Amino acid sequence: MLGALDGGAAHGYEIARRIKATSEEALAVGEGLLYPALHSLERDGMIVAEWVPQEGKPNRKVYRLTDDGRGALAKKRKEWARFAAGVSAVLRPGASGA
Amino acid sequence: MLRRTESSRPVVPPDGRVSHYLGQLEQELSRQLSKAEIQERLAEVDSHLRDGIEGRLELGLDLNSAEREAVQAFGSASAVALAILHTVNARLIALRLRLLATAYGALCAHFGVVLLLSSLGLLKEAGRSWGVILLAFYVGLLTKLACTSFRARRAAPVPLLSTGVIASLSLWVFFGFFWLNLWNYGGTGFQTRLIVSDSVRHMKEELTRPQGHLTATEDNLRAVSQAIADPVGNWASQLPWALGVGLSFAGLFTLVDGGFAALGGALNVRKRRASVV
Repeated sequence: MLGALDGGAAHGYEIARRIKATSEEALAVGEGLLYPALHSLERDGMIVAEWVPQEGKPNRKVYRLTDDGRGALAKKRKEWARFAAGVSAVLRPGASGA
Repeated sequence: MLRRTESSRPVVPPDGRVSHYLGQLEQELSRQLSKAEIQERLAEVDSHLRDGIEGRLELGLDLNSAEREAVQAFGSASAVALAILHTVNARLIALRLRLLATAYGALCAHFGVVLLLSSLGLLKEAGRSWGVILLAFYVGLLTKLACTSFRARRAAPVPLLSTGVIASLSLWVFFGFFWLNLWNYGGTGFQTRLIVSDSVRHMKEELTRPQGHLTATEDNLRAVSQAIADPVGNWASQLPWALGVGLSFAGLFTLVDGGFAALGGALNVRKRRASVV
């Protein structure tokens, strides 16, 4: 979710759409389950939210990354890159040396 | 029925399947969240579903199919509610565990002070009575916190009042088994042992006075002998008092608990409204 918001502020539906599109539908969680996670991130200060008025429709809640969120995202990216490299190395044919 | 805006995107009014879904979600969340918190969450879900329906309409689906798919993609109301309450409860459990630890620490400190003052002979009968009342308060508080933490963790639809009833019954059992009569010494209780030791001390004091009298001590010893003869009856006779104390404290805790929950909900809503553009 932090990665999805790195591309700019977005509301919940847009976040779900970005995750699905970017992952080429490999990651497709129940959209409703995004909101508890978004609220947790908001409480932790990773993201902030604001209600944006819309013409002819009810207000929409839009989320965006904070500086803390960007820092956490950068850290998670490094951790993931290290983890993925490790897994790829192990799974590479002939990696075990057997 | 759809309306068109200047942007020519179809605007979906709340209807049928979406309203039904929001109603289900509201019912699930109403077990624990305040009205203000529920309304805010429902507004966000409503907005999400509208966007989902609009997106599917643009892809060429009819309204009925768009609504059905949007709701399906969002997930069942019970699953979404459970996920929301789980994150809320995790926060509440942490807070209540802190309160539990604080109450336990206060209980230990209280006992320590009472024992110290007793050993120095500074606590009279009235002081010991206050000690019992405060002990009842702590037992009721700890039981109430344990019940509400259990309820929060399980996200079970247990009404707030029932935790108060459980707390009061626990208090009565505590008084019955551990304080009044049924604790060791063949049916004599902790209070009985206190009365016996007090009576012996009074007798010593009275006998050293020029004109001592043992009336108060005789009354104490009579009560003790009755308790020893009929411990269950003596315990049962304390039931109205113990239940009254327990229910009073349990009612007070429930009121405070509900008050804090309402205050917390109101503060959360005010904080989020402050960020409105």
